[in-house]
Amino acid sequence: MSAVENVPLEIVEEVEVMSKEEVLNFLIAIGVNTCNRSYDTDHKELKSSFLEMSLKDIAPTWDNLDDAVRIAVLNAHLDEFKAWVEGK
Amino acid sequence: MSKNSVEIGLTKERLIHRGIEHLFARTYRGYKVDDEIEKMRRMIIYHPDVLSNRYDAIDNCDSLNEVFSTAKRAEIDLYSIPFWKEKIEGLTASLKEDGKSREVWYGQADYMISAANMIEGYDWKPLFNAVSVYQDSNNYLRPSYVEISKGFAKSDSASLKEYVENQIFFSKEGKPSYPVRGLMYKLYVEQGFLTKKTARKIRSDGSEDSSVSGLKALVENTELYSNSDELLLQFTDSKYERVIGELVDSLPEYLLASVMGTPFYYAKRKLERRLERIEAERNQANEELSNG
Repeated sequence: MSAVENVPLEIVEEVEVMSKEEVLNFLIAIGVNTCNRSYDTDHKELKSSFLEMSLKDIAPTWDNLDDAVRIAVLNAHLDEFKAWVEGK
Repeated sequence: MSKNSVEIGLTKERLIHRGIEHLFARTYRGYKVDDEIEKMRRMIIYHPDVLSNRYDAIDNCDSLNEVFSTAKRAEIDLYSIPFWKEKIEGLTASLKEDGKSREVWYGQADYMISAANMIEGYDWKPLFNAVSVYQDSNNYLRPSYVEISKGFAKSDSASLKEYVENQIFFSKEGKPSYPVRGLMYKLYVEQGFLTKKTARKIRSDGSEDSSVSGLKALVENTELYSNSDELLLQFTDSKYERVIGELVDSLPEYLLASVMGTPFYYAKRKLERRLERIEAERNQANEELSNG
């Protein structure tokens, strides 16, 4: 692992640049997406652990989460979500 | 760090690990890799520091095949990236292990061939000898064997010449199967080793496929031989119709008379059409000349 966080990683042929953090968040997102479809107990437990993380920790992965996982996140954090909608 | 943040860190790490496994999961033949997945694969291959503590997630045949095939599609020179260079050297060293050659021949470890291809001056001979044990008696030519044979021919053409001459042309024991002979003729001819005597051997092979393979290689590499006409003429009395057909297509006009007496029906029709084409082109050229 690089000693320097947020080192810009460049894709050749494409102008797009992703930081290491963005790459890791993408991997977390596809990791949890695949756990969501799995019947394996470990994977279910891993998904639960992800849902128990704070919304602040989950937020960077949001764009790459499957819809089913997003709904699961909202259900797991329903109180916070309601409070946010109601502006509390 | 509080217990909670340790737990979060562990969860993230396990998910990253699973993400990498999924990213480089085997792509089944005929299926296209999703664009987003392909982009991320390239990103990680180019910047493998993401993998440095998580290499075990891809340390298996299927995933490594995906790494090398993605690099090939994206024209990434893995050997120029220090992380991959070290891995490639480790992978090729492991080729000498017992049982690996069978795995490679079966096509389950194509990444190893890709890895060996990236090392300049790689010695293909031991691997070639090891996979030949499985291929020689088999009538299905494995793509892995073709790749290894090409590497062998390129890196050690003298040994290839010796192998073809001792094991095929002048073999006193059983020869390899017909697709192997066909491939070996092709590689032998491409290296410029063909002589009048070995051309006759190819012409007399017991398999039409093998004989055609050797002739096609000669047709495609005539510039390697100053006596190419003489070599081509060694095939004109072949007992195989496809060989004569190939000659009809590829012989220079001034040598076509050598196959005019062929007894094969389709080869004769082919020859007639070619002569008609030559005639028509000549007439057209004459007309253009007379018109100014």
